[in-house]
Amino acid sequence: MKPRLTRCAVALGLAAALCAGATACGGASQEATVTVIVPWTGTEYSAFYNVAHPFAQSHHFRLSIKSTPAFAQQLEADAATGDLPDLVDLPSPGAVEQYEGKADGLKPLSIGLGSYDQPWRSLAESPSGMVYAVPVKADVKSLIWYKKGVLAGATWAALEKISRSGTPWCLGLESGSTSGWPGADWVADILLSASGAGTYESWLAGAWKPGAVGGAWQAWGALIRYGAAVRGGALAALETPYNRAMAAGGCELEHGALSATGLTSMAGYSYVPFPPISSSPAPVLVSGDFMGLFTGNPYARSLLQYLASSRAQKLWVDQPGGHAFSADSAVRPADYPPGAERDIASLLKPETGGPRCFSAEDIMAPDLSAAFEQAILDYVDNLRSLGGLLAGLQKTAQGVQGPGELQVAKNACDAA
Amino acid sequence: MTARTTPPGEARRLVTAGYRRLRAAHPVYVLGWLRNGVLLGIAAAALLYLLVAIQASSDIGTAIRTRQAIRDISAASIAVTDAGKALNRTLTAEDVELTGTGSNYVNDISEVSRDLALAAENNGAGTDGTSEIQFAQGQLQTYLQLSENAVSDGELGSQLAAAGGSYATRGASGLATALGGLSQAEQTALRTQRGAWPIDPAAFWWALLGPVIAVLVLAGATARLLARHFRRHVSPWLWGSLLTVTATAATAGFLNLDDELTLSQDPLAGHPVALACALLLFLAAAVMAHLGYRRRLADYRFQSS
Repeated sequence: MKPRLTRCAVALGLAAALCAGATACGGASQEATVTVIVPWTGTEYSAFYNVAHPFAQSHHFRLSIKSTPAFAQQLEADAATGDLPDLVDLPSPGAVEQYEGKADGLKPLSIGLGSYDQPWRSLAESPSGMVYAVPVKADVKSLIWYKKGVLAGATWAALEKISRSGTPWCLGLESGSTSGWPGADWVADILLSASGAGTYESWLAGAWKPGAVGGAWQAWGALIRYGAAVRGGALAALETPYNRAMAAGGCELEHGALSATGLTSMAGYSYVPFPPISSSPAPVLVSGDFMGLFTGNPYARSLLQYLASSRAQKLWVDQPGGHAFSADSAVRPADYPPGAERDIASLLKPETGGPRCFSAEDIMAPDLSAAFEQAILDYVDNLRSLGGLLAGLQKTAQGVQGPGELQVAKNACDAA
Repeated sequence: MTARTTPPGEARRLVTAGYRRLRAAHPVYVLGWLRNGVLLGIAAAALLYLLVAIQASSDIGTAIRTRQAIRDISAASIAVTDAGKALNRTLTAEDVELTGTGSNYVNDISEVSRDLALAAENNGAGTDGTSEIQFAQGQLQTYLQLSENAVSDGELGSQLAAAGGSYATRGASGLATALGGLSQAEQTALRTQRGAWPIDPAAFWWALLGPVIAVLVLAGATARLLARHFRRHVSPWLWGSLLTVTATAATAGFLNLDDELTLSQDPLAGHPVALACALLLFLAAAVMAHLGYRRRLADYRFQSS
């Protein structure tokens, strides 16, 4: 009887093990995930994906990338639920400064930025020298794009002259929650070119020279308000998306970065650096994307470390249609695809051109930057007088950052 | 410790030796083994039915919640479209200084918030779903801000008011895209949930009918053994047992299939009454199988050595 009982027990045990095994097979294993918020869409998004995805695959984690230009609102919504994204691409040093050193803010990084050029390196570091974000992308904004044959001479006077003669500018100010920024870049570039890096940095630090700042606004206003200076009239620019103005046709000149032109092919187009107005040589208006870590996710930390490496930077700038530039000095112009990208890349290098200054609205604290953009929209719409707008901006600057308190403003230019 | 592997020739030799032992064994011993096999098969069928029914109820419950989340997201998407239309109507046809964004817009946005909260409660996509829900909430905040900006620009009665409407439309489109991403994550989760083996027809039919097929094969072997060595037919008890176990497993399978297809709120296969009836029928099948073998085995009882 005993062996029979044993056999029965063994059989039942096997059946139970089979059931338990089947149940266990029903559960799915959880893979580590890194959530990233970026502002890029289209080919810029694809370029980032093509750089980050192979790393994620080889390190066995999953990437969850969300694209939105409204990173601040997104962070606010995520913070409310206590579940922050791992990595966020902050489009300005002002935003980096706002989120560093906070409990729910950016985590300090042990990433050396020694190979990165100025002003990106200083802008990524806190006053104590701590690194809170990596300048994963750079860009040049001081460019005038034109249809070949339209522009005879690359001087400010020539630009004014062809505007007066009816050659229309492409201007699109619509950009969702950040509408108005292309105009802000115009004003910053004119101020920089007319008054030099010193005045520009003083303006950003809160020490306004009303004549210089007002002059820049007026010069831009004059340019876009000549009879047919902007396709559809200046007011049409309010409703034109920033990256469709030139691609839509009907205009022949545009100011801004390559990525903002929205052109898929450069055939028939060329560019010149923004011409000096009174300062010579004209400083170059640049920008950058700073990626920061908001959680303790080790996979996210390793991904950020990789994105900061010269290997990833070289891979990124080589992505077709990505329009990416690098502030890493190890990435040489020869690493870029031949054509406009390679030529523009040389403007980022310290040895060429004038000093490089970070774009004003990117340096500003996010609230002041939003006010600057709104002021641009109001100015184009003739809603308020220029004096009223500038007074409002100055008041906002003092309220948001206090006089001269914005640390990053001191590092806006690499050699002021 | 060295792993021991059996070469193919050795395995064949073992199988041949086992078959020879089986052929050499007295038919009554073989009959006893067949009976034990049939009883074990019926027990396995009952156990697997229990496992399928209980696990399927849980999986169907999860899938129902995910399906509800998808419906909530769809309702939120419709409400976003309605909110966009309401805001445009307000901006173009009403005095925004008096109406603000308008009551229709406010109601639609409340609907979006409520639907998102419900989708979060029923989220079946785990951390992916949570991440998508947060993203949608961030996009909702952006849309709200752009709408308020459009209204404040509209109060000034300017060209910017029309542009503000267009900026808000961009915000609505961002929110709609985020809801699309969320819906996709939930639909992927639902597909995965419906592919779980207890509710996947390709898997659960094998689990339910596998032991029954084994029992039928053993019953066939029994019939052959009885005919060749005892010149007897299979007992009607054994036929009854086979019929009972087959019918019970098949009925359980069809009930489970129907539960899966309709994502039934109250799954029949896992219903307590169905569970009790099925277990009683399996027990009855086991008793009948035992009776089916008992007489022949009793005729040839040997003393244990």
